[in-house]
Amino acid sequence: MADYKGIKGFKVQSLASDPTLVEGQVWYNTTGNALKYLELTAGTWASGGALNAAKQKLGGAGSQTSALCMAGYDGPPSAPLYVTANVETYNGSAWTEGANLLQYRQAASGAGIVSTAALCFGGDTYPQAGLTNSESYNGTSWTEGNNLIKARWSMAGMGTQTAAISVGGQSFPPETTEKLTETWDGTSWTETNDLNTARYYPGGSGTSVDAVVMGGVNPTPAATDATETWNGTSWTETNNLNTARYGGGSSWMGTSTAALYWGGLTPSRTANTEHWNGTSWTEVNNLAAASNYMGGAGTATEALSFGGQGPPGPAMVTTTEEWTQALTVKTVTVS
Amino acid sequence: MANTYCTATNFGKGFFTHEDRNDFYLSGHAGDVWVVGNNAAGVSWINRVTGTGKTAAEAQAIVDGKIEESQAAWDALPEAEKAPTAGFETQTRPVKYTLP
Repeated sequence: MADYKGIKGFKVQSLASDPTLVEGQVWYNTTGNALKYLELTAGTWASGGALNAAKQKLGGAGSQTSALCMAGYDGPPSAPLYVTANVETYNGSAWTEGANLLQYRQAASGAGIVSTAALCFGGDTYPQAGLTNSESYNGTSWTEGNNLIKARWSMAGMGTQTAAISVGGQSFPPETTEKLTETWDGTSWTETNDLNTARYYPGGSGTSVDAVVMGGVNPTPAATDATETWNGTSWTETNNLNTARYGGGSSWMGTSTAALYWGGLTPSRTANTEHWNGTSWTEVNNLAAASNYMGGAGTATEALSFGGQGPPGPAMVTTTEEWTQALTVKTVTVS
Repeated sequence: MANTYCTATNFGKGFFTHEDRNDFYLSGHAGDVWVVGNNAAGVSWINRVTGTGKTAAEAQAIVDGKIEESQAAWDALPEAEKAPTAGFETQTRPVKYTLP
């Protein structure tokens, strides 16, 4: 009978103690005389520290333990004075006031993997004035950089402070749902190939050269379930979300093969959460409370959802939820 | 009965944990109403967060009251703000629903 090495060309590792590696890793534990493997547990949402102020249409960047909540809207419906430049930072437990952006705005996008090195771009001010402004944060203050090529808001924003991507969005006048893609090299924005499906308020995950976007509004006011992947050059349509929606939160810092999209409007407010594995979307455990227009940060295994609108009406919330999907050691049993 | 009901204020970190979410059903609603899986872990959680137990009818009445407040606020909006507007999407009128 052929053995594993004969079939695959390599042996299962024999280790005295369990390693901390990646999902799917298999090894033989010589201390416990057991064949083991690492498996991702089902993820769940837990409560996190509350924002200092309730707000919605937030820009998000960073990780679950080092995140930025950027700008947004913190007043009653359609009150221009309540579009804010406020910034808060999260350390895994609590939100702290950071330095305000130079330009107040809502529905801005962000990029960055830590709260001390981030980018905030686009957004709008009341009424319907799209922005091209692009600002960089060093953990202490914001610096104005070169502008986006086209003023717009409610885009997907991913990547780092020096290599980011801005996708889709909305512009006015005339009122346009955008397919536009721009990439940032740390100095300037460059227009590149368009999305296949124009959309605003989508989710996204990845980097400037490898990303996925999902959902959004198209055509106004309908939600789309369309999902597209980006290889650094062009967008490719792939399998759709199970639930079409817009204004949800997403794991901006994830990858094109591991993403999380949660909440949003179908147009009804939902707590629905879906996981993307690079091929298809799977329903996973829901948020504890349905919300929309929240900020998002983190990865598909450690994500952060903060603020937005919660039930019953347009009320804004301060609540934060933390998504965790841990790796656990499993033992192979024979029965 | 699959679920039980309470009111409790979300105090942030630790209010509900990943372990809680694995142990019982939990969903938050208007008026600080929480629908909680009716098992030992769920009941223990209500005690831990100093929740105030409610009957299903009481919990539904709280949520309905909050929705009615939002409906009244929505009805009072100028008509222009009820129509779709780029960048400042209007809210649809809140609708009552039945708690799980």
